[in-house]
Amino acid sequence: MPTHPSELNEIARRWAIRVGDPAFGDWEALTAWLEADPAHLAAYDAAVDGETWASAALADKKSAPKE
Amino acid sequence: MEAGETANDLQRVLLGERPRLVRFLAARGAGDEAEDLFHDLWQKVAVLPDRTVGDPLSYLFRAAENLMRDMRRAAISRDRRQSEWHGLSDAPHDRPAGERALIAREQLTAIEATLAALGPRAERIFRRYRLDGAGQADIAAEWGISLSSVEKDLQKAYRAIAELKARFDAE
Repeated sequence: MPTHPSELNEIARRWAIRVGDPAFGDWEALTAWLEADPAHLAAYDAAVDGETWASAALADKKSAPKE
Repeated sequence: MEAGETANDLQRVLLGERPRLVRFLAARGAGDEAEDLFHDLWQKVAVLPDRTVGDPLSYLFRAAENLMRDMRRAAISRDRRQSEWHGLSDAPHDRPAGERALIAREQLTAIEATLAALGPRAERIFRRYRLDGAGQADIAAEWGISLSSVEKDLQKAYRAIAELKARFDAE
């Protein structure tokens, strides 16, 4: 069933959040979800990109010497 | 032997779980190259120091996920260098270093403001999760809130960050 883009992005972000947990272990469910529709991978990559973008910026600041 | 497995055991698990890991790599964006990437994974595992791993299969899936993230990062910077070379792109990273630093600062300020606007709890939970690497269960315990409250705060933060990034990407 086609999913509305904003709904798909929401689902993809939920996956990115779950995978970000050190205790995540549901890899086969993630595989099945990614396989279900090619659009899922693009949405998931975008979700990971956003998460990485923000955390890298915040982490850089944290580790940078005080001005 | 103690609980957990050594690197050699990891390689045994890797071989035993080859179909599942190759399938994951393929679905995760490796496509036809999944077998090659499985081989990369094998080599990475081979040079790991001998140490115990709690859940070897999960550890290997995580390594596969990280491999795909590295591949994507490499592909993106390759594209960037190519468009710089051809002078085709006007993306922020093609601008001079001074301007780049300015943009990075502007983005950081916007990210901080976006997280702050979510309220102190969501902001601190996002930082704890992403920067400290704390698990959702630990965060829930620290705050004395339910797991689903932690999830909701993280969803709020991720959504706001995605909207912010889309605005920067469109500039």
